[in-house]
Amino acid sequence: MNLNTRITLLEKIKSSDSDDAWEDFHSYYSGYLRAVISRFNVSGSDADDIIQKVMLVCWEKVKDFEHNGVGHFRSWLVKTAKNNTMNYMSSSSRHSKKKNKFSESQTHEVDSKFDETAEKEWRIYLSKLAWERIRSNYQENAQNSFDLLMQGLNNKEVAEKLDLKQNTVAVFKKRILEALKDEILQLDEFLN
Amino acid sequence: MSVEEENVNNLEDDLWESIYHSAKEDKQDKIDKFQELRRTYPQHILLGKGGVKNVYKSYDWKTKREIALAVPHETADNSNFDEFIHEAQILGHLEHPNIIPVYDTGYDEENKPYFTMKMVEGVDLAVHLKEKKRDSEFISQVPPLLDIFKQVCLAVSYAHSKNIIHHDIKPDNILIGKFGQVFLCDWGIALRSKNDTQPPLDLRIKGTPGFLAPEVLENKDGESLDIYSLGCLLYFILSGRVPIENKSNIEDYLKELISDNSIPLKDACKYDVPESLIRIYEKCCRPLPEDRYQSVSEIIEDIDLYSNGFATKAEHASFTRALVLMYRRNRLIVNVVLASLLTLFIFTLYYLNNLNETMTKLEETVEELKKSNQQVKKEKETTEKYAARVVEEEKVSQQYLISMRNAADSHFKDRPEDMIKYLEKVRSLSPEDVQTRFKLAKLYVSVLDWRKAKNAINDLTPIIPKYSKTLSDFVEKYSEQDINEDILYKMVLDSRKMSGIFQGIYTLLTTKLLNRNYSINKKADHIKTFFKLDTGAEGLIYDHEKQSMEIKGANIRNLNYLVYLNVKNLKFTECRFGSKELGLSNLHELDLRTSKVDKFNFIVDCSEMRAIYFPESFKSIHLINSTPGCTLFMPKAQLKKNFRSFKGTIKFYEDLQE
Repeated sequence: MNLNTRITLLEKIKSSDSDDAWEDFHSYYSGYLRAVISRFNVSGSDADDIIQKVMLVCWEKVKDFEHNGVGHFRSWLVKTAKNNTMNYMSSSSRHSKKKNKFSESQTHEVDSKFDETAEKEWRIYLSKLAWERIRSNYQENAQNSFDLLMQGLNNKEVAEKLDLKQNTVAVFKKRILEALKDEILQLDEFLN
Repeated sequence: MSVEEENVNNLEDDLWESIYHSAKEDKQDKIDKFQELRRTYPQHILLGKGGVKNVYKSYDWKTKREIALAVPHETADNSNFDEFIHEAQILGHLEHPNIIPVYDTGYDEENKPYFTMKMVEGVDLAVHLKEKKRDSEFISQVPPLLDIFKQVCLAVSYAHSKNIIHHDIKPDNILIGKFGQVFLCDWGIALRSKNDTQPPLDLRIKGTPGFLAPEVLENKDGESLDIYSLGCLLYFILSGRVPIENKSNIEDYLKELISDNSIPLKDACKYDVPESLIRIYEKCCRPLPEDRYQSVSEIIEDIDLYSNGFATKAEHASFTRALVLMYRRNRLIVNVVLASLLTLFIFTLYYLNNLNETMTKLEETVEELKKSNQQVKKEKETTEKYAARVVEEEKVSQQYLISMRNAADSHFKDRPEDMIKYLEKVRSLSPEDVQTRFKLAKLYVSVLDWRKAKNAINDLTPIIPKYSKTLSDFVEKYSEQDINEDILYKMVLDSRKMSGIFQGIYTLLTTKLLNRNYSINKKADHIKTFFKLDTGAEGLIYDHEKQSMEIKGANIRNLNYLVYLNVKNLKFTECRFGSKELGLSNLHELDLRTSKVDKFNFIVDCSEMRAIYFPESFKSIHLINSTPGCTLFMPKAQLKKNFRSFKGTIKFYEDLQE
């Protein structure tokens, strides 16, 4: 998908409402949400439920959504997700006669830290996503080098492990980072 | 999740997050840098104000040159920004020597648009023309002004080719640079014709009164608007004013325009404005667009035609006018041609006049010529005949000459004086003949005519020097001497020594000597000597009383001298004879017994012969004139047939010896 046009995904959905747009929407944001929620130890079917619900809400409300600047949509999405998560957490505890799956402290944590976590997760998610999108542009050595680097190894270690020159690794890193940053910025504008 | 795993995850997460942050930071950097770049253009002094913009003198630190900076008015708002940006875009799109080039556009820190362009020092046309006085001398200033006008037209023509109509052509919008550059400025209300989207409301009737075309009222657009404005511009240049006076507002102006209250250009100019230019202006400013020039390039064409002295298309020139203009263009050549034609004509007349006179003269001379021609012909004929005859005569005379000479030898054999006369005649006929003259010279010597001899020899000296010398030596030796037999004798002997060609002299001198009357003994001696010399005779016995001569052992060739001795009895002892005939006459007795005679050629005349004693053997015998009284003595064996006719007696030696 070409991101060079300055239309955001949101605008795209609003204008075309095609299945393709929705699919993209789902794939981008659900992944993000899942990552956020999992920070609060919500996973598996619980996560699916929450995400499904959030998507539904989006689908209903997206048409009326007025894009008012960078990050506006996402914060709304985050808010929606938070509410839904909290509802889910509390309702589940209410409806089951067993012990609460989710403790009160958990819920509290969600309440207080959700926004912050969402922000952080957004950055991480975006960076990783960007890498996924552009990795195929690079040769295997470069890809492997970068993966290893992102695991915390330094240039020397990566070079040893992959049997490359340290200089090569440095070059890979530099090139990929440049492209990666561009991609991140674009994604940010597109999805934010 | 174990703590370790969590830590690892956290580490990775941090890495990813850091990339995100880094990306954002870079972006901000770029924005900041871009912000910095924006602030390159200072505003120095105000150069001018336009409709929506101010133009300042500025400076570009990158290219280190002075530039002009255009910014919107302080009072301008967003809608005027559009016009401003629009002008920048249009200017950027155009590239022409008479349109100011745009260098840069952008937004400043307050997000107000700007653009920079070439800096031109100069004044606008209105100011430039203000100083001009439109008096009678103005006409000389028209050509450079026409050039300015032409350059404006070029800019407009170029813009039209890009489908852009200027809409506001007037002197205030024309910039004249310090060094004569011409720029058409203020393209603020210029529009892309046809292609443009809805123009802003007011713009359609925007323009400047005085230069506005009438069809704007009908919301028509097109190149014709600019063409009309150009016409008004031309009017302004030539007269200093506009066709229809400026009214305070557009509506009043347009009223005047409709009713066509324009003042004719001729009246507006205080000087004599050229007819062609008036026509050009009129063709630009016709009320109906269809009647005007259809393109600016046509205007340029007509301006060029005018400038080069041709008739413009606008004026629909008549033949005479075109001719007049052609004359003006080529004044010098036409004058020269006319002058030369005139001179030619004059000379022709003069020449013709001359001809007439010479004609009559000619006729006279022709007659004369005819006559003399005939005469010449005649003379020619006679000369030819004469020449032919002469040639003939030449031929004849040559042969004649030779035969005459030859004849002389034999005919005048013993008569030198006659020969001389004869040869002198021959010489007179052909004086240049050397043979004759030579012969004469010899003869003169032979006859001892010293004077003539000397003359003749002198004549001949250049031709035959050797022979002449011989002769002249001889002459010199003897010419002063008295002639006697001794001298003559000497002469004979001398002449004998000369070469064979002089033999004639010897012979004649001998004859001369022997003919002289002197002592017979002397003579005989002389003869003896001669004979001996001639024949190589061993002995010569002469008996005067007996009139007998005995010649011994000689080579007999001739017997001339015997005549002088009156020899009657001749005896040859052991002589030899040549084949020549020997003339013998008056001999009584001839004794040849001991001689060797092969041919008997020499007996010619024997009328007095009594006895001939023939030798032992002889061969042929020549004619013998026989006399009855002559007796021939010969050996029996020698009786020849020839003797049959002999009438005399023949006796044989054998018979006698008995």
